[in-house]
Amino acid sequence: MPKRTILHLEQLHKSYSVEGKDFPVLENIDLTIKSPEIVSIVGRSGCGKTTLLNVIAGFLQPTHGKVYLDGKEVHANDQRIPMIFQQDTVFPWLTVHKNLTINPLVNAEESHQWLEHVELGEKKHIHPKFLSGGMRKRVEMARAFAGKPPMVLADEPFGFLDPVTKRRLQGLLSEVWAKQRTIVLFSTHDVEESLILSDRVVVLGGSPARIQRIISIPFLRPRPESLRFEPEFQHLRKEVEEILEMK
Amino acid sequence: MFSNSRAVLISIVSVAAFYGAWWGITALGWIKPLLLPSPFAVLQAGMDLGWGLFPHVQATAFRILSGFTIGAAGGIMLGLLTSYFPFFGLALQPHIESWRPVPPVALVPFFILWFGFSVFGKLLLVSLGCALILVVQTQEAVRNISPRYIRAAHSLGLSKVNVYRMVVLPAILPELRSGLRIALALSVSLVVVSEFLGAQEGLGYLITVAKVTFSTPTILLGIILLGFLSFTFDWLLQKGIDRLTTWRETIAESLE
Ligand SMILES: Nc1ncnc2c1ncn2[C@@H]1O[C@H](COP(=O)(O)OP(=O)(O)OP(=O)(O)O)[C@@H](O)[C@H]1O
Ligand SMILES: [Mg+2]
Repeated sequence: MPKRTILHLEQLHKSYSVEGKDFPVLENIDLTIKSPEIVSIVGRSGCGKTTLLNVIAGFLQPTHGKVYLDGKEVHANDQRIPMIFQQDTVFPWLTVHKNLTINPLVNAEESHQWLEHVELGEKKHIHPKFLSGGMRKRVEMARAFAGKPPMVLADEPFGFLDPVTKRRLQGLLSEVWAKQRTIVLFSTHDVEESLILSDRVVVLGGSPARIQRIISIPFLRPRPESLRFEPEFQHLRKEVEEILEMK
Repeated sequence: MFSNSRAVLISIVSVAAFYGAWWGITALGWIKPLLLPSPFAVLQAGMDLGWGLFPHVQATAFRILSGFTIGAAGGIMLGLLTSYFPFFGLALQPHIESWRPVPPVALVPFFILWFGFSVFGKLLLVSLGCALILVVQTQEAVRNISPRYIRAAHSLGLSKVNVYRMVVLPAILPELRSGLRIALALSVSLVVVSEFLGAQEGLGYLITVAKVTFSTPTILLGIILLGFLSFTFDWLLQKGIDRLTTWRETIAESLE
């Protein structure tokens, strides 16, 4: 990785207006992330994780505050930051391969390599309707990482998957990240997922949500599956869960 | 569900039953032949005309196809433009809304006044009718696209033109299917009406001439040929759209 990318969130506030009334969701969000770092946002359902990621991606305008990527402010819809979404967003009318090459920065060769990385080389030329949910998530993963993006956002990427597939894809995400080493910022309500994948865990909580705590995860990479049973891991897990249960 | 050959068999039996019943009613003499000639009289009328029928079928088919194609393509284009350029959309919307409820047939006298009995006038009428249906259908379909696809496309760095070309257009196609079929049916009726009012050839013209001579078999022949034409075009249209949208998960598949 020749150049380090820096994401900087400065005093972010976001309110929705619901039937004419202001409804604050996020408050005072300050955060700096440098590549190569994986950061997770943990919080209960409805606390504002999707909202925060949408603001960072430029899909939503923050009410106050700014998002800077490498010193440049991210304006609505002008910055290219790939995102793996909570719902399925593989384009059903394009083959798996074309779902990657639709990105103007991704050529056939690169698409091929990324599909190999996520073990979908064989499914290259078929339409998504023939893929399982887990396979579609892998397409989204490959699509997000292809084309050397400055960072990748992921909104509860594995939320709907069964535990076994989930673990497999978590492993795959760290492998894929190791090849690229971009910033990865993902949200999850699964504490174990956040601990096994990230370098720092940002715990969101309260209403409107603020950053309750930022916890550094000391485990070295690659992290084995057995890490989940280590006392230190369990200890951190308890710590995060306790913060989540406050309020 | 039904296999393909079973499905075809069901249609054939159903059509045969219809013509059988028709023949039965006329053979029993319940209705005067002048009011309802037998299927064989219609067949005879067709044989009498022989190749003479061909120019009529050809003229009508050409008018339907070209009017529909121009109108549908123009309507879809216009619908996309109104959402691509919101200002243009706002400016155009009141016109679309006020013209849409007007039956295009009501415009026929003016079209005759302006364009005479020319093919151009007929095509313009048909295209206008189709375009009005498809502008609105396209706008609705664009509104119904799931925003997550648009966001995904933006996040992958697609330019606005490419979002429309590679995401919006394919995403609305399944929803345009019904609008296209309705527009096709409308083109058939608009072509016939315009041929009733003034033409030198075409099935509508054939029917008008037959009406003057009380040749009911020829009238029915014209109607049946029109039905056959629109059935064929509709079938081709459906096959074409299905071909372009094989990526869809259809209910038929999931019920199988
Ligand atoms: N478009 C919107 N307009 C108004 N309120 C909204 C809108 N989107 C979300 N909200 C509200 O903002 C809050 C945060 O929603 P958000 O989707 O960001 O939560 P989340 O943490 O992603 O939840 P989950 O884990 O269930 O996905 C919720 O209370 C929700 O009701
Ligand atoms: Mg969410």
